[in-house]
Amino acid sequence: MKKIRSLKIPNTFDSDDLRMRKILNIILLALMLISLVALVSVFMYGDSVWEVLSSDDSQPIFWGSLVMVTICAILIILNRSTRIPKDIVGWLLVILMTAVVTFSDHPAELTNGRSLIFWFLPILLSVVVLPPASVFIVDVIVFVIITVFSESPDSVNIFAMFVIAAASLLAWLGMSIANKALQDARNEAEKNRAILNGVADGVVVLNASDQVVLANPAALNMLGSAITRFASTADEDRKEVGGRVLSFSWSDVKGVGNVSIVRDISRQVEVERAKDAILGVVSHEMRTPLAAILGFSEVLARTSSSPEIAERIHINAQRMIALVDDLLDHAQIQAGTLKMNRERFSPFTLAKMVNDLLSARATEKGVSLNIVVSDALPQNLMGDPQRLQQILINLTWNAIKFTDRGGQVNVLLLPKGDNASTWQMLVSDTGIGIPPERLPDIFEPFRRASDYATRTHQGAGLGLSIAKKIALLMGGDIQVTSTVGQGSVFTVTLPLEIAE
Amino acid sequence: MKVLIVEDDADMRRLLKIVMAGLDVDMEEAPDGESAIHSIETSQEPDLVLLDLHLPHISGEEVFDAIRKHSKSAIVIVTADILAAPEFVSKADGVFTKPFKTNELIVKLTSLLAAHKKDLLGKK
Repeated sequence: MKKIRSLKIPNTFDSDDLRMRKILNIILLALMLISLVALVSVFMYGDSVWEVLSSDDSQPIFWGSLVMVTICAILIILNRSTRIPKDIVGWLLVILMTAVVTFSDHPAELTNGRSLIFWFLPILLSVVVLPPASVFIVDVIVFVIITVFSESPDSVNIFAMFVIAAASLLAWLGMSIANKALQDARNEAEKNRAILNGVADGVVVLNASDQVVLANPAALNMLGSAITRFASTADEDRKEVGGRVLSFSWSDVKGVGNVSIVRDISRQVEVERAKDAILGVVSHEMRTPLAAILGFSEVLARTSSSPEIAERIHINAQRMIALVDDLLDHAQIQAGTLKMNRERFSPFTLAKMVNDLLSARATEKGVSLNIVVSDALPQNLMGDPQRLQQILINLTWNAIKFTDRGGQVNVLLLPKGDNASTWQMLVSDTGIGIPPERLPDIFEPFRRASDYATRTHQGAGLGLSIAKKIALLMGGDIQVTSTVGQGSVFTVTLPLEIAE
Repeated sequence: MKVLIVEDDADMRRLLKIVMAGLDVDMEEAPDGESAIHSIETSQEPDLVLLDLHLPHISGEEVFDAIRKHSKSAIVIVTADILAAPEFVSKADGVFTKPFKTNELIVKLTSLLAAHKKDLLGKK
């Protein structure tokens, strides 16, 4: 096996060179084999070397084949050398072939007879092993030989030369097109390779037996030695490999294999962790001092000589707590960690709680607040009453805020249609309304539909965005319709689940 | 009756003491988990423990388990960690998240102490 391998062309040439040398190698090996067969076949003329060499018939075949084998062997060796330019061996072979044809028959047969066709051998050979245009040089050499061999200027076979020239032209054309196509394909592959090498994402291709058949530099850089056990490393969506968090996404590409895109998401994970840490800080470090302020102000309101000042402290601290709560909810929604409880609750109690909390404020503002629970709604439902209350308080308080003295805010809790699988909370007001161009983004965080108006309202603009997200998390939604100057209707639709 | 206040924030300890001033109880303070556990193991067992969850060195959760193991004291969680609070709803005798309403806390503590007193009298 080793010897056979040594006949192969070493992989140290550029791809074009390599291809040409491989073709040359095959041709040279074939020629050498034929010559060897010829060399052996001369022994049918006699039993010993002496007998063979003394025979007039076998002598030229013996020496001819021996020379051929030797030349082929030399050319094969030259063909493997990096120091010999690729076309040299090709030219030597073409010249050898031309010489063989030149001496293969009588000059008359080679110019006008049975062996005329032999000239195609060096010509076609030159198209294959040399740059295609070389065929015309070989043409000239062949034409010169034919002319020289012709008995007289009149007997020069112009017709044959014309056919040979035409054949050469066709061969050149075909070979040039093939070379061009090959070049294009190689350029394309080179471009793809450059892209593959340049992208920041790792690309790894596995074959059917989970072996890595391709990995770009980014993948090697990210995975290091883990690349060798890639299939078991990338069995999860994300994994920590050598201190980095990597994400893997797989796709089965027909004809290529299992392609995995590897992405370094360490930074992203770090940011997520930092976000959680901020959440903790907001939750604990801000609530503790605010709780102290609230608590002391409550004590002060009971004991101090100016309870109204303690009351103002209390109210402002409460506003701050509400803001902290909103920010915390928002952060939890963003992080996807906001969880809904599922417990038994009464819609009537929900309505009563909201009424208790907001009726005084509505009266204070001169807005009449009516909260009605439909009889058709089941007594007890399943859901998260705290979060539902949060939504309802938010919408109702908004409605009160944006409604002028003398206006009305109506809250209605009812099943949606007969035999309903959903129920609704409708909050309608006779307030300032929201202009149509503002409607699409009122549920976006940090936006307030009131911005358009000259009046200002307090808050971070998170309430509606949080309410909407909570409704979505419950499998429901919030819709709004509004007419400027006439008021707005917020409709919360929720899945209806009757408590056992 | 004795109440142990486990709270690392000095202002919060002071507030809790002021709020409970009308309850007629002995109050002991522990600014961290070690001193809380030490107090329970060495001195008279408290009737009620007010426990913060975020404490230096030993966490409130560990203190909670230690108190449950060593004593029959009622435990009321008072924490700013609204994410950790829900899991104590079923375990503790009461859970308050900061900011809490002082009067609500008083109502809860009064009823817990009354129940505990009844318990003690029943045993005697």
